[in-house]
Amino acid sequence: MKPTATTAGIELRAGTFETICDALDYAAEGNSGVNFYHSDGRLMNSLTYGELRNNALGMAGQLAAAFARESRIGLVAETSADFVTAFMACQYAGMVPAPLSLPAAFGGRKIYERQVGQMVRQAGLAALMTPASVRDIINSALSGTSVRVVDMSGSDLPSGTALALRHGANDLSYIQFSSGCTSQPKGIVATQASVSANCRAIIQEGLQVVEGDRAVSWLPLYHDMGLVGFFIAPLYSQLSIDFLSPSDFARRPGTWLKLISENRGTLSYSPSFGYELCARRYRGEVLDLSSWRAAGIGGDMVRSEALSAFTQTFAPSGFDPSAFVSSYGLAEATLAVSFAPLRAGLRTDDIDLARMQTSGRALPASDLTFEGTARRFVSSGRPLPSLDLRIVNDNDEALGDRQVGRIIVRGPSIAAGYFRVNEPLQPLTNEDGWLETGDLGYWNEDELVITGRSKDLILWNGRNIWPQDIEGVAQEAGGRNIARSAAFDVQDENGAIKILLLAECRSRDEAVRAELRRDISAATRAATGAPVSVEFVAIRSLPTTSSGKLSRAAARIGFLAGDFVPQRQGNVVAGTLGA
Amino acid sequence: MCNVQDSHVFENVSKILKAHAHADILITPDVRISADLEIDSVEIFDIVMEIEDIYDISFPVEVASSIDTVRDLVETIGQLTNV
Repeated sequence: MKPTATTAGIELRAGTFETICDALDYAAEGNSGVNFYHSDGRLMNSLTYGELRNNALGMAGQLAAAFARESRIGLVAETSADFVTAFMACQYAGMVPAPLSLPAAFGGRKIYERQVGQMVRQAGLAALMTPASVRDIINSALSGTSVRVVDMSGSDLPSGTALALRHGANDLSYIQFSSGCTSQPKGIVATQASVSANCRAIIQEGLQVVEGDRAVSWLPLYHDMGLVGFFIAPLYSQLSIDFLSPSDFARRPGTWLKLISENRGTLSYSPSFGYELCARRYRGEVLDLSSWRAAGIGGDMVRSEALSAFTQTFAPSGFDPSAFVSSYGLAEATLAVSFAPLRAGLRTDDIDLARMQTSGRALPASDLTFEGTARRFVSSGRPLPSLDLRIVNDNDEALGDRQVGRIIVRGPSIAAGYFRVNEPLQPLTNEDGWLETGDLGYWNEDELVITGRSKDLILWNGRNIWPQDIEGVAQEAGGRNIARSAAFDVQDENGAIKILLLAECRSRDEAVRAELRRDISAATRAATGAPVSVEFVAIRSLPTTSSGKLSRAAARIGFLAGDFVPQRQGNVVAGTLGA
Repeated sequence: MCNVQDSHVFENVSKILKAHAHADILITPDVRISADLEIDSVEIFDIVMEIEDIYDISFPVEVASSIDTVRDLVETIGQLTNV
């Protein structure tokens, strides 16, 4: 078997399509396509876009016979030819696919089953298509529901077909479960128009795709960066894609680089931690990374230290640090919002964090900056020309250079709304079309710098973790010994995120408290997959808002200012911001 | 299986887990890998890879997600190496 060609053999059409089906119809005329690799780098499966289209059209007829048009179909998003075929079959059949994640290793099954149950209920799925490998888990998650479970290959769909009516330019496209806490996941509805607008912007304005480009990706296909950035956008520009699954990447990150090296990949993205993992696990394999012209970073705060380590390790293999493209985006805007200028590498800005906390201005660090309070931010580049982006204060007034405020965006890439079955779509924007991104940032001349989240959401290694989830689990694990609790993140001077839970503890008995701390720590870790430091504080000491609601933001500021005298000796996690 | 603790596999697995664990607790068959040893989801993959390399096996997704305790892990390795 050979991977599909880099040269499609047809004229490059840079994203000028109205629907995903139109994009595949055109790409199907060429020789490029999608390739799926094993963790050791062996090619497992390869489809030209023509073959993908034929297979998808076949399945679309079966779907049309089995389900009403616009039915929502869950797809467990393993990285496979079956998944992309089923996704495209839904587009050709006028169905709305909802990609779902896969369970995590070691203790992930129970939480996963609960999540799947919630997403299925919320999206009102008619069916869930799953690979055989997790079918038992899916069956168990859906026991007691009427949702049909179908093999991802479509092999157990009824063989009869009906006329498939594809999505038109004004139709929906897919539901992306993205932000939202576990107890209330949010399904973002992308439309053909929003996807097409964002893909065109990525291709023409962001990455400036040219003939000879080739995409390589290990990103999960249930995430916007994987699904839109590295399946739909390359499809909209007829590029071949080499896929490695996220779990195979995590096991053998070197295979990602090997694919770029061997297939002369030019476009590939990862959150910072992916680059870090590659550097950490490198064992001296021979690589040639000189073809890689856009090494994108997105999905979480860009950490320049992690990327420097990558450059140091792989410059001898031909990696050029000017290939780094820091980007910013969110699923509510389909995917991309801003890109750093190409071939310019990372632009960093060293800021006095303490002054930023008190004055709201991001001023460059100087000799007067206290030790440990300087923080290096990486610029996320310029907003896509097809989007409006503003940084505003609490009165919604646009802010100038170096003033920190809320980032809001407007434009054709904004998704249609949040979906809940039997309810009207909940809009994402205000009346004037502005979307609150939930992120904070400032302008450094004409470039956007993201400083953090204005919402309470915790971003940990590319994953969204909701504080309510941590607090809920802590409550369950701690029982009546725990009153209220507040979870939030603090950053160390390298920008690494630490998750902290302040919990009001009723017991003063050291033995009881030690056991509580262990139990809560174990439970929160099991629920989130992330380490959570538990600190006990006095009853009624956590701050509330004027309406009596717990204020995590105030708790965080109080913690950093040293307001909470820890109720035990030693080993207190110290914040570094303004503390 | 009642002899998990005496097995070679247990000994090897304990060594690997100990190197990654953040919590300083004795590794017994009933210890939960992620929750009790305070190992996060990124590190879990380091462990998966090490074990797969040593035993020349591959954990199917479904099997890996159902592993919770050290005992589960040792027994799964036993099953995968006996195939």
